[in-house]
Amino acid sequence: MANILVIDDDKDIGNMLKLMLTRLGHAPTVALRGDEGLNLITNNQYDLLILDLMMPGLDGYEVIRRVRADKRLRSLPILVLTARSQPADREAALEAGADTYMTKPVEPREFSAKLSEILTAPRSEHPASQIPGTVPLPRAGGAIDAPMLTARTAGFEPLVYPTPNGPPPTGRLITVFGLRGGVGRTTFAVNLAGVLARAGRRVCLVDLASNVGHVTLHLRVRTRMTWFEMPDEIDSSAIAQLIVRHDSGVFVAGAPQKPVLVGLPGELCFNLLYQLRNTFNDVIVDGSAVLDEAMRTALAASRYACLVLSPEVGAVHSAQSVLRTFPNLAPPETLLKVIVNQTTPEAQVPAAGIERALNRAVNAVLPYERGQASALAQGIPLVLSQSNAPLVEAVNKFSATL
Amino acid sequence: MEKPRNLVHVDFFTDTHRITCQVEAGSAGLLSLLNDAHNSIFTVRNAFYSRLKQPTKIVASFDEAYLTKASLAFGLLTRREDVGAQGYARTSGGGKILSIPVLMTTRWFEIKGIYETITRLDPEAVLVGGQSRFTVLYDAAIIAIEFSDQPAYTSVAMLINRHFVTSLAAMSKGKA
Repeated sequence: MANILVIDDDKDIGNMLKLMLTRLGHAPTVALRGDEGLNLITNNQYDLLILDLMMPGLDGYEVIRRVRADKRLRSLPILVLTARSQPADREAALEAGADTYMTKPVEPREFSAKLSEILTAPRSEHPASQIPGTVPLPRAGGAIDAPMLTARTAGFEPLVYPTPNGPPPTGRLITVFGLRGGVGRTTFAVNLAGVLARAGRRVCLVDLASNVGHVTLHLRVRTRMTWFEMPDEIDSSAIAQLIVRHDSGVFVAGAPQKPVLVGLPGELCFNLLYQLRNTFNDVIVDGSAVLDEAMRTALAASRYACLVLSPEVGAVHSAQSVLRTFPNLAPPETLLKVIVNQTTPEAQVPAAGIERALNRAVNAVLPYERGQASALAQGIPLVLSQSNAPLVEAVNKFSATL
Repeated sequence: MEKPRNLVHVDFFTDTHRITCQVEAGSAGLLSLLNDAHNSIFTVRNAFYSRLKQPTKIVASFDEAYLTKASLAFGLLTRREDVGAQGYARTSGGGKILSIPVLMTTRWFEIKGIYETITRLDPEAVLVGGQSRFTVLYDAAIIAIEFSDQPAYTSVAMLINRHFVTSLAAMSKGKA
């Protein structure tokens, strides 16, 4: 049982949350104003604060700032629950110091899952409680403290390399990524490549996985060379060795078929993608599930970044983390697309729930496809064997929006 | 006191402000309320005002406010069904719905979204046909041109004041 304080000026919402929290076995207290809530937090012990942003008087942002500024309270987990659903609102709340963000109306199941996640997570001082723009120095001879680690791990910046002289490449770079395995990232990448090739575009599919790439398995192509064996100087003969043409018309640059300790170095990755974009209309990167140098380089150079997730709680949680980091991975020009791939017959989280959790629209929902297993077993992607399959139609519809 | 029916959460945008509020849309939905030519203004509840330049900073809040339909550029909804009958079109049976990705521009905003129709994209019908002031784009994203460094605003259903629209293009017929 957890002591939970709800601050929301809407009495009905407050009562509804109180009922939900009581049913979940917690002890909720409801405050209708920001100052009243702050008073309660100061004089009582709570395990979680659930906070509305839009309140007359002291608004939610100010409550968060005051909590984070108080040494005694700064480790209190804060869940923002608001009707403001725009990505900018989410960013502002997280920047102010909130731990997580949900939009109203809230689904009881989703709410319950989020609560368990917050209440079981280890409590640490929130990095937003530091003075903005500063990072504490490690103590002499001592261990680096938790905020320092958080600041370091969150300190991604888009990896950008100098472009060679000459006209910029005209090919589009589309990176398919996601930090959760088993969500059908390669399935989407392969079918997207097939759909674009069918539309008459010259397409190259690059497998950047450092832990055994699956593109060659999906397409049953045998590569002459992978990026792991590629020379540092990338010229046309190296590219000719690297790429092989599949029957669908898609060219494939394969990944090593055994795990390698080091992924493709960033600069080499940049040069490879640059060269390919000079040759192809579309270069599709099937990304690695880790944000290594190659992935960060690809995202920073991409026109489209397609985040693939399956409709289950773990994948949604992982996608939320990615979205928080995304502004540090890619420049504003990179357009983020969210793809939900229903890998099982039943969706654990509905698309509307995912949109609420991620605070952004889902750009494509790929329906569950029974034939996908045999497509993989036979090495013939659905785009070739069943071009009218709902999954292919969904990919087709999505590709029209690019 | 009797509870208001069909209270819809909306983010309204004018050329200068963002107003996050609730609207008692009635059973016909918000589109019908906005297109009702008999009333030029309507009441909103729990209205929180932000300036477009700082769209997350709340500068004022009111229990009740009155908005003029003519000055609203967009209304962003969080649920498709809040549009009203048109929002249910996908599930209404009958003819197949065509989803057409389009780009619309206004003096201050760029909007990408899906226009739904059962026939074809008829620019005249979309932009000037009929008496309705507002039309709908689904899965839409808007960027305020003056503040293009800010994240795009997204919505599953966006009501757009047609009087503000300066151009319309089907995205399948070009690059955007």
